[in-house]
Amino acid sequence: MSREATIRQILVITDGCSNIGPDPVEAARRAHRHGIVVNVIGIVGRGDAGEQGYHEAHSIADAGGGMCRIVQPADISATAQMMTHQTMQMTLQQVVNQELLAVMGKSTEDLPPAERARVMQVVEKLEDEVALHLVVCLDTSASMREKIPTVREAVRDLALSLKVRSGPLAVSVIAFPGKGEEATRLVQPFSSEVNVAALEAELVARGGTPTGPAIDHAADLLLSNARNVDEDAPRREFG
Amino acid sequence: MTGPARPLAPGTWVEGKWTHRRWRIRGVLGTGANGIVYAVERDDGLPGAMKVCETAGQVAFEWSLLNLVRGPGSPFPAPQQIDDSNRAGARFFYVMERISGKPLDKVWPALAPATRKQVMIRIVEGLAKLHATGHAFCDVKPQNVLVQEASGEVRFVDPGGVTPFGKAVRQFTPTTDGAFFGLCDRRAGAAYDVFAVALMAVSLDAPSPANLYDLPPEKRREWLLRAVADQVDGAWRPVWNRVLRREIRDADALRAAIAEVRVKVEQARAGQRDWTAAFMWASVASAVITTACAWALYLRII
Repeated sequence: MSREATIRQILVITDGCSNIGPDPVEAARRAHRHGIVVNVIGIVGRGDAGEQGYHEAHSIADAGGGMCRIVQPADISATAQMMTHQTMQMTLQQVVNQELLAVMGKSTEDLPPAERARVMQVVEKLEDEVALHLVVCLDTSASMREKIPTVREAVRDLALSLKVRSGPLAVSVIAFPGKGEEATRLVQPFSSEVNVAALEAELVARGGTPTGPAIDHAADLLLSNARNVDEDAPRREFG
Repeated sequence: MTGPARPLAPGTWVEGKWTHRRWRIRGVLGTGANGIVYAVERDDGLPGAMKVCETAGQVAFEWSLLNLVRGPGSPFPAPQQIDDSNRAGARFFYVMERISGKPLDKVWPALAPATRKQVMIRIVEGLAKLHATGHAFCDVKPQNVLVQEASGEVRFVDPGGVTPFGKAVRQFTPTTDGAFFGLCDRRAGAAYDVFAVALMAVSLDAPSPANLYDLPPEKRREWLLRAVADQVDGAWRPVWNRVLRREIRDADALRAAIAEVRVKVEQARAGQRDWTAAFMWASVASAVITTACAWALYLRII
């Protein structure tokens, strides 16, 4: 992360348990090993408690080094932005912690609390300036049909929040399942804006819930984007 | 990092590692976006509110915000102490002034028109004070505005959204977020807070429909304009329309506009009610006396 100063995140928005393809928890673990953070928003509708889905959502976030929140559809947008912000802050804090340990032999938590505030000001400044590569994985299984308009608007809304940062933004959107036999479908390649027309056309609810393949697909996108950026260094327009 | 922990029980003592002060938990005041706030009492009896977050960083960051906006007459709670403890559920925390009063949405229905105007002016004055430091509140919403019913004093809680002008807003609530309605960027500034005050005022009179979240921003704005036209108190309508038309962009201009709102005078109605009440009691009394006399005559007491 310090090499190219880019934060890479996957945000999974789902309403249930995966039932197609490899284990999503393992997929999240693989992604996290490559420095990617996986956040999960579980959507609860009225009635369906979904004990198993709840458990899986938390396990994915734990394995992916991210956060998990289970929310009502109306809260997706504010939750997505809060999680992105907090996990970016966590990632940067880890980096700053490592630097502090290397230079002073102390982590942030070893500093007196009042002095930590100064470290956090630095973290906050970095968070505003660092490049963010984000892949949003949207569950479009049959049970999501009624929630898709809310989710679409939440993704548009998240981009509104992220694009006013000073640092560059590249956001991509994957739907799972895809069309026909596809497990996943790239709705939008990396770009600095969300293409709302593409979301409206491509997000159609159907079939099962291949969460694992979606996380793998998202991680591939992030890693190949990182390689491209490396080759074309130092600066390149995304998308 | 997968969700808030179970809250600490009332009576629990939390001992600070750095200051060696102790605080006793009195109860939960609220659950914020990133932690829990407890009512506490310090070992010397000083009442306070303790914010507990999951990470040391979050606590330190909010603490720095609270110190940024402190000072005499600050609408935000005064910071008291930041510390760590070994107690699970309160590893990292800070303590601030405990603010009494009730959230605006709870007191609003019972407020007289003149008091509503006074409360709104005080909210805007609080924001003006904050804006003078180059920061926006960003998370203006009824739950974050506490009103003291006796004095009508207004204070803000939850400094987590306070952001320097020009930076990205990091904490907001859709129903009071101008960007959600396609009115502005999600960027901290005086105008962002001014929009939030107008949206908050509308939300107090007009509850938002459940499908608002499914609609694109342009359609949400259409709903908003209709709500202002149909559901908002007519005396206030011109002010909020001017904000939505972007004619009012800062706290001072908003304060001036609110000062001109002509609210219904309560005096006349209150006087009328008194007269009716007096008449009613007089009727009851005369009925009682008549009945008593009738009985007395019947029983030959007089």
